[in-house]
Amino acid sequence: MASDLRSYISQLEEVLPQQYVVIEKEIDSRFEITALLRRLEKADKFPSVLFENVKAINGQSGKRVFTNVTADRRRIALALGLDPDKWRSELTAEFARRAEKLIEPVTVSRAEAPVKQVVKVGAGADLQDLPIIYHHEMDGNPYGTLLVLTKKPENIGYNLAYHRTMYKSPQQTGIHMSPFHSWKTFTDNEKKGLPTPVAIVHGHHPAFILAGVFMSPWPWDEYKVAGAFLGEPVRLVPSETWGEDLLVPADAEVIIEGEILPGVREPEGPFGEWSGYYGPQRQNPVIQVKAITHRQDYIWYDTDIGHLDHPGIGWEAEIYRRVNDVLPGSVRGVFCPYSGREGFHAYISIEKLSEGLPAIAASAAQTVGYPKLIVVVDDDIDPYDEREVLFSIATRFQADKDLTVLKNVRGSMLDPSMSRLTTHTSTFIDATKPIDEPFPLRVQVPQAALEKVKLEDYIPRERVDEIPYTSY
Amino acid sequence: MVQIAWLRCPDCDGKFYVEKPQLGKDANWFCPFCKRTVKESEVNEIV
Ligand SMILES: [Zn+2]
Repeated sequence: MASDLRSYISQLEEVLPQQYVVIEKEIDSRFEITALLRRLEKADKFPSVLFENVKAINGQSGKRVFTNVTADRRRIALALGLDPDKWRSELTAEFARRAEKLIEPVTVSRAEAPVKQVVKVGAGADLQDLPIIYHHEMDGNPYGTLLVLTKKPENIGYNLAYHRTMYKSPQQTGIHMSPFHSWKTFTDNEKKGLPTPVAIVHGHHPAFILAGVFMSPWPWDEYKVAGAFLGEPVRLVPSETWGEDLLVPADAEVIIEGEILPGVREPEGPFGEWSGYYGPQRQNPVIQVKAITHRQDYIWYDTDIGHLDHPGIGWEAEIYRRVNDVLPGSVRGVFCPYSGREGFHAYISIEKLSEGLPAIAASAAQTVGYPKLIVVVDDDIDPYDEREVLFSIATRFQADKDLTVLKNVRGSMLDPSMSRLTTHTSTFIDATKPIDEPFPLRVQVPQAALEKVKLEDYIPRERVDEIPYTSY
Repeated sequence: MVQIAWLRCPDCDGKFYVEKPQLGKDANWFCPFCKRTVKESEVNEIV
């Protein structure tokens, strides 16, 4: 059996049942799903949620929506086939390692493709049938928050990218693309007056979906990256609209085929983005829908964008890969924390073999996405624990000698503090100990005493559980 | 950050923002609250 969303959900039920919630009560796709997720967030709970009875745009109930899938890194580890407890550096490293073991996709027949169980073309392809979600109050309309795939020119291969797609009418969506790979393909076609074929993939195994957040180099075929993350070839099938010329994933839940129209710009947005702010309404390209194919009992996969579900691990893994390229064997971990909205902050732990290496690590990290605060720490500091990172800044960093400011580097338009349109100022903090002079030791209890004194020998487990959690 | 300008919808009075450098061309915008298409020239207030 090929890996798909259903095989992942079965695995989740078996391995992490406490992280999986099924809701049968009817809920509206208009703000109610995200309202429930905010209630959970307020209680510091981030389960994956399968909504069994969601009202679609057309008011029809009974649709299924699966969301918040990547809000907990243990579930990302599970998606990659790791022990969920290995969600720290093991996960980052595995992500980076997999990306270098590309796996060729295979093509299957329509009869073998679950995503072809229902095929709607022409006027029958109506977006109103789908439970496209209204996420935030000022969003222009309901939004798709998942992968848009395009084919790069000259048969280089396919690009998978997270793009917001705004419902406009039964057969049109708006699309916003940052100036990366999909944008390049679109503008190259547009210059020739040609439409750009796209397929929007709403639902697949999360390992497939995560290929869309990995910042792979332009010449890579991202179906091969998705195969690498899945650990097996992605099964592809000809699209309804372009046949063999645009292959789509056979094991997806829902695929919307369409064309980005050349020379057309219409208002799109505002939209609550990963930065935690609304991106403004702007004149953006439009997708004309050509076909919708889906499984009989499809599950619409959504990202709880603007919150912890945003899978910043794609940036993190590529930083790991590039730092590891320049400092082989020295990287202990890379973490892009949610507090920095995953795209803005990066914490890198290295074995510091000589002075100057933290700056090399930071320089490599600077080339991935839009980091504007890069903190390099020693290998005794856990970069996945922000209290440890701040401890390191507090005790191993002096701004006059350990702070580097780099102006006019590429930033994200979604950073509201940027004073220029596309560039920001990046800050590198070297919070490592000097290696050419003595440095004090951190306090610690002897290891032998730690091994001898077990908590349960002194305080009953139930009593320990009653003690409130202190987070500061 | 892309520069923003707040527009006030002439119908429902809802406020939303658009990309400021794209103003000045009397383009169509649309109100996320009442879904009305709004020409820049008919917007009640631009801040
Ligand atoms: Zn209005």
